[in-house]
Amino acid sequence: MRVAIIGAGVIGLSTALCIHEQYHSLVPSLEMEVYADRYTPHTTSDGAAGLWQPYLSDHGNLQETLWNKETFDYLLGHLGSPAAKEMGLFLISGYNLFTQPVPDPSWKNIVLGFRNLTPKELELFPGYSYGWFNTALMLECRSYLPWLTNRLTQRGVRFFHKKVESFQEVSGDGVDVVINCTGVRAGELQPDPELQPGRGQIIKVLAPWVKHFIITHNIKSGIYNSPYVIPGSEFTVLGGIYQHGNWNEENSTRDHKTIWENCCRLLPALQKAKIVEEWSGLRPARPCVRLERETIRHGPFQAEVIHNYGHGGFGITIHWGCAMAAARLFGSILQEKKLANPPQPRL
Amino acid sequence: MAAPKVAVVGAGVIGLSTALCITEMCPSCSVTVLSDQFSPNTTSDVAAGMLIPHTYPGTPIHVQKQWFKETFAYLFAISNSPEASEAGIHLVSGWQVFKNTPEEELPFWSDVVLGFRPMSEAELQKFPQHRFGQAFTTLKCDCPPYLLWLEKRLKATGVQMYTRKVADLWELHSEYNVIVNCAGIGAHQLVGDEKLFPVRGQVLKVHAPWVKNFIRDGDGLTYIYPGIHRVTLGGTREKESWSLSPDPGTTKDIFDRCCSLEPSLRGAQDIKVKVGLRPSRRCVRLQREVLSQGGVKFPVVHNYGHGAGGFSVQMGTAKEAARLVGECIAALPGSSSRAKL
Repeated sequence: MRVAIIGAGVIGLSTALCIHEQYHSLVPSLEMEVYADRYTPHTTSDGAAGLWQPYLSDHGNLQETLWNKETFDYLLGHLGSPAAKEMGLFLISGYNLFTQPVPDPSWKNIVLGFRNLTPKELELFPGYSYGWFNTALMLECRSYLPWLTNRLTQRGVRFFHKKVESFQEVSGDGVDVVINCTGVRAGELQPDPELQPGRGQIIKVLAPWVKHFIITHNIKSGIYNSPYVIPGSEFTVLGGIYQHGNWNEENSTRDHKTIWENCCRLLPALQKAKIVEEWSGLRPARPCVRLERETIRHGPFQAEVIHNYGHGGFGITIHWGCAMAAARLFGSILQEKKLANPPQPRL
Repeated sequence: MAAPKVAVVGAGVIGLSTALCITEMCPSCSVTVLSDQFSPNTTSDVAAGMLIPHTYPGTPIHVQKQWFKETFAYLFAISNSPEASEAGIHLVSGWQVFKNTPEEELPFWSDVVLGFRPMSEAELQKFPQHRFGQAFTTLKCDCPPYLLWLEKRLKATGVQMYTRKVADLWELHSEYNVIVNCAGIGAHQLVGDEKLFPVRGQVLKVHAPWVKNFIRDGDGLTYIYPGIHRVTLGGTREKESWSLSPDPGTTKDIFDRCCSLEPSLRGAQDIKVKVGLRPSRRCVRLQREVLSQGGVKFPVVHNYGHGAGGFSVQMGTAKEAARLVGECIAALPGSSSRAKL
């Protein structure tokens, strides 16, 4: 049985690994291939800072909250393992800042040590009168994606540098199951008006004295349109841009100015930080993640497609929960084809 | 009289912060720093510079708390300014974990640091051998940057600094009016203080930039303190050991203990080993003394013996020392009210 994953960002590679781990021993004939026009370090995932943090509100999307939790718990379990450093995984604490009191987020009990900020802590952030402190995780895709790629390569998964133009291109070639992890450009394979780019821009600086993430929120401007500072293992990411519907992947001088001025006002010490890189990326924004099966027919050919795209600015945060859900869908496909009984559900 | 000449002996965190306070409290004074060692070769350079107080058995707690509060407030302001990175001062959050619940669950400094609270069950799961813990945010003074920044500020106010080994305070009586003794462990020999003893500390400074939180075992022996470029792994507390040579067996032991608290440290690179002698005493010697020889009187202010807690109380003791210097100057023959406090 041939399985093709389209897309090699965090979603594509983790879904591939999750499915291979669960089913390769049950389906000896399983052959897996990855197709992508962009590989690390050129994917959208590579540009993200890598902080595990969902949006402030889940909009009643309980499913997504569960997938976020699954991902956090899965990563937390890997923290003590020798692989953690190679995966780019580590704990990080920090601040979420608001100009007025807000309800606690759906993820308050998922992260560690969630609490409100004390008045003295708020003195650090003039202009903000309310906030949270918690310890969360960083998963840097510049390390995680190569780590996933190594695990997959070890398992005999093959990689192809190719822009897939249609599902039929792959299904007509004899692939039985297609996993669609094409992120922001999923609309090119199948129109989806709900999928829009959420353009972001970031400045990478050298500021190794910054040990906390700081995320500000402006309820009026919306998510990610307020400055944030996220220290990584090598560089610190400054951001605060979210432009819905903007497909431009070029860096904007105006956005640079916005990010720089806002972040330096937030953290005066940043004024002395050296700028190393600038990057723009398109968050694959959607009202909810598209994670479902579809049967694609083309003449005599038929293929099962599992869609797994539309993770907006929380792809890293939710990736493993979605990979597990996609693997369950894969299991049901196998059952229908009478190829295997699915394994017992894993925790 | 001419501008009073003050010499500060010692250029670690105590000497430099004291010199700075003296220039601020006594602008008419001429201040000189004399030391056989300057950064990066002082005891302070070996220390991680974490603002977590050490308790002095011989000093009232309210005094220690005041010293810590003043120090914390002063450094907090700098950490929040554009100077923070040059000064090497930054906030860091983390956990102090205990294998057995401590008698004192709320240390005297718990309301000075930020966000102090007991650790949650979920947080403690990361430390299976520990049953209780405290989470908080505090400050770290990275050395050499912090000391170099203090030196820069001192030079900007006209303070001269000279490398010089002072063997006896009397050497200086013809050149200076008041001496401030911030010689740290050097005071053992310099003034023959038998109450001062070294507590040897060996540490590793490693490259592990993914470690963003501090972890400290409540027994004070094992700790992981992330600095700007390096993480300090510790440590030892060997009373009465004067050896400044790194011990390889100790290095392995420190590394293993820290890795059991934070397994990812196994991937740490470029391990550098350092040794410092904490200038320990039941209480900090913070007092005036008038040396007398053949009718000549020579005022000295002592400010040494901070042991493991120098960084945490630096401003509090420096201000008190500066105040005592002011008293000495006022008592100098021929001095007028020009010596302003």
